[in-house]
Amino acid sequence: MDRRDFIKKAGRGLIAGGIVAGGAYLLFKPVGEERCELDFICKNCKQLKNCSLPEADDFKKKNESSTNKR
Amino acid sequence: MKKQIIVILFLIFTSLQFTSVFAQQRFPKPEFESGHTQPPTLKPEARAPILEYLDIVVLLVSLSLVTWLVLKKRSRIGVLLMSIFSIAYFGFFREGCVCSVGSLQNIVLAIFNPGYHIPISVLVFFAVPLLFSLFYGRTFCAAVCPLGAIQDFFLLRPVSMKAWVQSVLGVIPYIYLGLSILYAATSTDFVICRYDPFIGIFRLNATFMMFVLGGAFLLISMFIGRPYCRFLCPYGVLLNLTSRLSKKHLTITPAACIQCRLCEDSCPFGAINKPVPAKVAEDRKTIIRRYSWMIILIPVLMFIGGWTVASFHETLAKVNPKVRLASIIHENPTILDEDTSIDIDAFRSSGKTRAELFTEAADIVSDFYLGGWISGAFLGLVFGLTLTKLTIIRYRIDYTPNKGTCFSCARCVDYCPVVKDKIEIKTLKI
Repeated sequence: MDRRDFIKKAGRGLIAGGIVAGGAYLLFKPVGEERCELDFICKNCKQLKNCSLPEADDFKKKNESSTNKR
Repeated sequence: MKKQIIVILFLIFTSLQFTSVFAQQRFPKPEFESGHTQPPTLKPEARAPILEYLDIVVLLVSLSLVTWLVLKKRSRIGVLLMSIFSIAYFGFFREGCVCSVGSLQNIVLAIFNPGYHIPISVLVFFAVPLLFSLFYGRTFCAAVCPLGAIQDFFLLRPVSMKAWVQSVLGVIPYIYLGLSILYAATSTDFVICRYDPFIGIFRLNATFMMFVLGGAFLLISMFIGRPYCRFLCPYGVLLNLTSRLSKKHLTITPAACIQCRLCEDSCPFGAINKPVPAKVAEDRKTIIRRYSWMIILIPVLMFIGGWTVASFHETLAKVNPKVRLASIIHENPTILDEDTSIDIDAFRSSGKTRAELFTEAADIVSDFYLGGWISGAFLGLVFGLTLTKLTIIRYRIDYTPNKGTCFSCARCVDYCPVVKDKIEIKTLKI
């Protein structure tokens, strides 16, 4: 095995190990407090009906009449 | 000729799906006294877990099959058939979601947002094509990615591009990658999905602008091979890097190259490395001087890149809905009492105070400042390494696929007259 092959093999091992280890971490990481930052506006959110976040509860209470119609 | 007719029919068929875009309502929408409003268009419902696992199985089987077809069978027809399957399943049936290209953003969001838990299917769609690329080259791009497959299908009369044009345009995916990571890391938006030109075509519900964009890409694909994959795809950047280290990659010839030059212009993506005759070696002093300059130049470029992108952090941050809302309220404080737009209405309903919103927006803007420095430095590094690469000449004696940019589509294989294990010449069909 020449130097180039050795570097490639080491790089391959490192990247494959990194992908597997990183993937396992992301899959089993402890999930923090549930948040909905990507859909800040409750009114637009399709999960609103089943959402248990305080923001959603608050929104549903304040808009009880309109959310019932959805 | 047959292929051209199929493509034209396909274009007409897909165009017909968008006639509703131009349509106007014959009568105005009814106004209900009960206060009922027209329901908004919803995003697709989440897929049942069992079907998510089915997607994973289909991905694994497709990748394995394409890899076998490319490396063992060396079959272009097989790759073409798999492309049609991928367009049908991952494209039209699965409506382009989950896709590996977009999954990159979910990964970034999962890293930076502690409240986000990544689904296993998204993780597999991100990781498995990279692992395959690491060992077998970009077989995912060959026929499993529906975005690549649909462009490949439209390629009719490829036009060769100058190498320098390809190099310059080849920097765009890095910029797009930097921006998409920045926006996903700050929980702002998934820009890759939002501006995916083919999603609207697969879902048959594109807005007029996205239909025009998708149509333009397909039109360009007729003459310039896979423009999205080569000059825009951010996931392609990662596949390019991993594929360079691949253990077994597609080879043009199954045995020894006989330098017949038949494959020279066979690649519509300009991904074949031509032989470079050996020259007299440069003296050691010149090489050391050149590399010394590069070692100084790369950190300078990284600094310039970081400073430039960070300077625009406020503009970039305005894409974030919270920052945008805070900015609107800051500019016009009375808007909260007057305006009834959905953003203002939602903010009022959330019960948050202005101060809370401004604090959150300020935090996001400062995240963009830091992210701007990192993204810019990354781009500077890419520019620096691209310049360094231009100064390195690797001598080759055979025609070989460029492991980074080759999509393993197996077009070149049919041009090689050498037969495996025998070194005899195939009879060419003319």
